Amino acid sequence: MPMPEQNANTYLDQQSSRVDATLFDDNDTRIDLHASNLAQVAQIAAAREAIVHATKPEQLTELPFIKELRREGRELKRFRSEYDANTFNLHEDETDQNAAHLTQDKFDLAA
Amino acid sequence: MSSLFKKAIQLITGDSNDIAASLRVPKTHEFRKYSERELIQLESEIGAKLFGPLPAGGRREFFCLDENTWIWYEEGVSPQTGRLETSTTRYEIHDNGILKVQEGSRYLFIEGAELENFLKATRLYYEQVAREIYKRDPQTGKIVA
Repeated sequence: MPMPEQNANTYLDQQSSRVDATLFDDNDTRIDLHASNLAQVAQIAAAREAIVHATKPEQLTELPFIKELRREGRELKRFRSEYDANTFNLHEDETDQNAAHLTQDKFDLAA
Repeated sequence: MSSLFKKAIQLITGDSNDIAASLRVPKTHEFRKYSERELIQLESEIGAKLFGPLPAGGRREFFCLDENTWIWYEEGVSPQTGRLETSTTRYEIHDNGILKVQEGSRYLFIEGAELENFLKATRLYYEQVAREIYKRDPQTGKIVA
């Protein structure tokens, strides 16, 4: 059932807090799933879908940069799965050099 | 940070101190096989450096979890309150944009400068991680000599 974006966001936050408080206990790792919790989880999923499809309904095809992002993500997963200890040769000296190089590329994500 | 996120991050990244200690190996040491979680932690060390230095005592994680999920985590002591503050952001890749999911905030598709910076960060991350950790050519994905 589609719902306006603002309502969906508010609803999602409220439901997330409730589910967090209900499903996960900081004192132990038990996850107690009751029928009502499962219903809340389903409602959250529905609200999320509503946001995703209500925000930019004119762009439902995969955008070019999304395609590239996913390709890189799949490649990283493949690199990890094909990782061979023998190819890993990151010595301390190299790490220092890399750190110096990387810090030249600074920017603020939240700008 | 919600307990859900806390558990998820701990599950994914483990304790960074343990990982950092495991990385300090002599040059002659025989390199061992790393688990996917440890590899993600190594990647995250590169990812965290893309955004400049951290304040003293701070900690940052930035990594690709899978093709549809990127995680940003940052913690540090607030100068105002003196208390430890944490923040976790999950970026979900959808066909029609990148959804920013943050506790206590509205869920929004990022756009403008934030979208551009996110794409720059992920591109740099991919290129640096491919070359430095996996010894791969980022363009072809093939192992380089």
